[in-house]
Amino acid sequence: MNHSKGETSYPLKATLKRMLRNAALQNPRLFLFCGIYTAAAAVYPFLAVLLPKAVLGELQKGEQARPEAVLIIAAGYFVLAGIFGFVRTFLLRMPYSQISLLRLDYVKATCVKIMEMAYPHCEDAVFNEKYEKAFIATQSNDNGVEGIYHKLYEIPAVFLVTLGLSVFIGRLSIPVLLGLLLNLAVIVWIGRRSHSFRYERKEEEARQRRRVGYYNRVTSDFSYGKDIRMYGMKKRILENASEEIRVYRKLNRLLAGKEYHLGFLGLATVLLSDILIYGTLINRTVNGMSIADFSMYLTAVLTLSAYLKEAAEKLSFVVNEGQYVHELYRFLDTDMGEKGGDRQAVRGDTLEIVFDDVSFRYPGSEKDIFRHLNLTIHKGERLAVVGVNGAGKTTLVSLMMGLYDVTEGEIRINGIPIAEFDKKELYSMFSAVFQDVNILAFTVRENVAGRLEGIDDSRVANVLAQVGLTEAVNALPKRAGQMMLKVIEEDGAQLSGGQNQKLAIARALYKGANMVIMDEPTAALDPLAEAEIYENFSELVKGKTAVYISHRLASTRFCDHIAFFDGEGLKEYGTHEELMARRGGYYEMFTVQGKYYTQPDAQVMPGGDEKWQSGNCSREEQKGQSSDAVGERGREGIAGAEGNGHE
Amino acid sequence: MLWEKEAERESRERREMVMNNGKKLKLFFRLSWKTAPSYILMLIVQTLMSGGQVAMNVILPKFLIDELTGACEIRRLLFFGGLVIGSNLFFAWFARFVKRYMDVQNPYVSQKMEQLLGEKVMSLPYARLEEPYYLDLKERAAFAFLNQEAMLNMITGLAELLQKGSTLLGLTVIMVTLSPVLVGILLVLIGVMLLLQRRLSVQMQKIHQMILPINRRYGYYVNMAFDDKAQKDIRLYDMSGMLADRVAWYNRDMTETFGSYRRQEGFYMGLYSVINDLQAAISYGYVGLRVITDLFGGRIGLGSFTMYVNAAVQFSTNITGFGEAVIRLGQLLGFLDPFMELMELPDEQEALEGAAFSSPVESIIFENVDFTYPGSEKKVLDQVSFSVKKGEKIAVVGLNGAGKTTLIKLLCRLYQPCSGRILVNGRDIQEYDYASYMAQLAAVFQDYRLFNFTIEENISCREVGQDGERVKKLVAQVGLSEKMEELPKGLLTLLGKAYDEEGTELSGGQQQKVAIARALYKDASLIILDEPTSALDPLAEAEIYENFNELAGGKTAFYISHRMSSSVFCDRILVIDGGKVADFAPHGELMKKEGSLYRKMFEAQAENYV
Repeated sequence: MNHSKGETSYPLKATLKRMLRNAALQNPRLFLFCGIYTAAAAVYPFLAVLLPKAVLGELQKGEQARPEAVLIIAAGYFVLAGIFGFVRTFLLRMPYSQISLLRLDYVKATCVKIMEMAYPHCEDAVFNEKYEKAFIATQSNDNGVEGIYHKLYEIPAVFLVTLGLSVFIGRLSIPVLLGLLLNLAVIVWIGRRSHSFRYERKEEEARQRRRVGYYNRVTSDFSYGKDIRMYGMKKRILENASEEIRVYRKLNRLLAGKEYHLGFLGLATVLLSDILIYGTLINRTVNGMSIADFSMYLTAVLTLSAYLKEAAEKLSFVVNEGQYVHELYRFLDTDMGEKGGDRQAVRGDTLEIVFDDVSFRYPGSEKDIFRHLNLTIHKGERLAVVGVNGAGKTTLVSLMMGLYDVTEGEIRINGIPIAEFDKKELYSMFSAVFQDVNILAFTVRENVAGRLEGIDDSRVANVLAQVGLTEAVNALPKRAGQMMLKVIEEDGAQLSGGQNQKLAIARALYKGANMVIMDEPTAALDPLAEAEIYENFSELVKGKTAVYISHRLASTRFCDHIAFFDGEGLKEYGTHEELMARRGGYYEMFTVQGKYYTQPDAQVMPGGDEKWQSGNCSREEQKGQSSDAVGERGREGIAGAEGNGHE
Repeated sequence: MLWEKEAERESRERREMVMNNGKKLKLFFRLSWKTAPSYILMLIVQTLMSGGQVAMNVILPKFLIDELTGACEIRRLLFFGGLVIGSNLFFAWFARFVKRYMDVQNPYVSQKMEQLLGEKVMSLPYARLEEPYYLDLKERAAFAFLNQEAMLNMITGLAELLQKGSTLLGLTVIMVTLSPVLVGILLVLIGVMLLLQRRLSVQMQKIHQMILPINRRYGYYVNMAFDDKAQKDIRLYDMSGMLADRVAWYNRDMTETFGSYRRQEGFYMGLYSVINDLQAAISYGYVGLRVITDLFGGRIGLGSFTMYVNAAVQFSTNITGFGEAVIRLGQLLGFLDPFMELMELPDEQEALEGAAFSSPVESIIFENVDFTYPGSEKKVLDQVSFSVKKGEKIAVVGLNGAGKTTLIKLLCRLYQPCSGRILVNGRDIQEYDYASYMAQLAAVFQDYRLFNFTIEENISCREVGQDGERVKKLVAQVGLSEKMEELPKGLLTLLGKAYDEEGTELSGGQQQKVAIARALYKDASLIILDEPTSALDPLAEAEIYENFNELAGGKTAFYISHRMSSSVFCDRILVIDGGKVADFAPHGELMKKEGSLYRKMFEAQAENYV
């Protein structure tokens, strides 16, 4: 963790200044505690240095030595050391949690930033890596922000003691002091050298750590349990993991070996410094220095060498961890698109959305999702968006809600380019329901309202009734005040998949935004639950523009228009009847999906190898990869579909 | 009288705790010995050495000072000075030697322990993995590993404890030669200190119990704030405020709860420091008096004075360190509790008779099978009986939560029926040898998982290159060939980025296809697909359905899907309603049955296609 070349340097002073300002603003009392602590902690070690001198001084008087004097010295030491020691110890620990609290605002600010920054960052695979240091900075008591605060609290005392002892020993013998400093310098140098040796291999190390970590995660992740048992993967995974751990150990051997060998230089300076210390002290004593002084200086030297090491460690800790805090400040200060423009949301009107020559590709991707897309969603229109996987259906709605920015072209809401809207205002205009419902561990009413205070409870009751959840919610012990999920409270409510989906719709209703968006809201539901959800839609979209994405084409029939996307963009647009008549991609998809529903008597016989088989000739031929068997089946399938088409 | 009982109970509890800790330590040593025997040896050597180091530090200066205050002969001074310096040098070297060893071994042992945890999880009966208690236990065990580095701290803490212990032993020997009385006085003071530590550690445990649930909640809200999946909802429903408030609230709660402990700790540790100083004062006073009076015994020289006061001072600092190490170790053992508990769980038991299951599946019979999840009261399966012949394709349909997936889990021996039997080829499946039974089954679960191996390995589940041709054929059959051709390394591409950044992420639909290929690759005579096409678009889905019977060939197959159209492919449809078998007949027959659940479900979806 040492600072080294290879890492970019950062403004340490400015970082520490800002940290101190934060501390002064939040809890100025800490400075008072620190002052008193410093005074006590700076005096205390000197008492231990002086004690042997005082006692030995008395003892050396030989026959004149008075037992009372020895006892008085001992008692005096006890009183002084007791007081200073108590104050020092108490004031080191007592404010610990107050120092911890200095981190709190940063934790909160980081969370808010994550939740409000422009959405593409959330799906940026390297985002976490990029800001890893910033996140680590607030994660623990011992590192980053809080680690530095704790160290800053202790450093003044360590410095005062180091300085005092250095002067004390320097006055006895400069070479002894230099010997100690040289020893320290070499230790620090070794630390840096072995760190930069490690730093050069940091990628190798990170890779190996990641690999070991992968296996540890997979093996202990319960959700892998079924497949590991079903496919007999245990032995293989353990062997692979052992191999990765072995490689990691080999790397560690190399690193530790380097440090060990460099360490011999350190041993040399230990030797030199010891020779200087003992040589000087023995020499002085032989030449008349008292044994009391000998003892005192020896204690002082040992104390100083410990304090020097401590000072160096604390300093390098602050320098190293400061990097993390700097990254935190940088993260918090960077504009990550959380604000957007200045425009307020449209009030009292539903929306018209215009895609004007929009091209889009995901950041870092080379594949265009849309190329020169032009599409208008009229006020009050219900548009179904359908298509194959990866055609960009979800992307389309993400763009209009401002979750992503277009690469080229412009999207306008009621004539206003969406980039001009304040992000929060923009989001406020959409009631969206997605396939994955995220019920959070808040109460039912908080989940519906999306806030903790100022909840309109009659409105909550209303929307719950509209989606048919009243009964289920009233069955809960605390009704709408019941905590959801078991993670926070053990008696938390757990709803079924269908009920969760209804709750999500209730949330959308409560929001009552200008426009409604539904992205595969029933994909995980059984047919009856799905049918029930559909009934809620009309309530939700009443008088509003709505976009509805679904794989189940039939469920889009309540829509006014259908936009069909394939891998190359918007292919077909029109009413269901128009598109069916066109016999294009939509028609094909609809018939493929519908044919089994529309063969009323299901002429599908057990084991009947030909009859169950069906397919779509035209598509397979398009792809030019159909086997003969598929081709045969295809013709039969088409015939069936056509037959039904006439019904 | 009452308080006596109280005290008795407390001491009993303490005994139990100590025994418990002893047992945990034993387990820890057993595991360490298993992973790295040299590690234990090193601990012993290190312990002996640190005892020797103290003896040198305390005894050598005595000779030096005696010489300085006595004859002052240069050669002897050089000799003793040299010895002091030499021993310093030796121990400095030894410390570096140990550090090198530990730098390699500490992470190794820690990683190996984590691997043991993983091995344990993979060896447990699957049923445990779905019980919330064990999930929580595992999470806590992993938390201790990841966040507290408990294992690493445990290892270093143990080394420290042993060192301090042996140092203390050496010091006691030295000091008893001077005055057992002084040792007695110091021991009394130490007793007081240990009492203080004891009280503090009780407080610590109390606080820890209070903090744990708060920390869990705090962790939940922080994770939600960082969770990719929730971010859309958070933005669109403006929920950042409510989440951040909770984060701050629990953080403050935790810190303030801890604050009360810190104040107590400051007070107790302050007293502790005072007693420490008292020990030093008494030592200096007493040993000093021994130099100039003969009140307490024969006089001693200045060299001995230095030796004894050093020994006394070191005695009290080492006792402090020892006590702290004991407390820390106790805490760590507490952190490691879940790990230890998990490691002690019994593995999946082999069936007693262990009959090898060698022939393909000929028949499957469910006989009055009842099932309730452990810890739940709701019967998920209720008197389920049906039988399936070789080669039949069975669709299992029902509403969400009807028990379809549970049925499959029982058949896969992931759970055992509470009552009733499942017979395959006429014999209760529990009686078959586990591995040979599993070898006849292949399943794509709803929440299937792929591994960060190459795509080929994911399908074949064995070393690359053993059966490449067959894998290639399957890849074509599930419709993945095109995608494979796009990838530079084709089938040898690594899946996922968690293991290696070079890996490729496939879309949900493509992953499902790989999982289907894996199930088909396995030479099993029974194949089970649980919602295998939920992530596929209608065209890809149709492709899988239509190829499925061909792909499955003569294998017996179970097929769970919400898309009713898929059941049209199957020979018979098993309709599960509220844990009971509602119907078991071909599609045509069920459609004729007025008001049947199956028909209702089918029509609900079909309605819009007509």
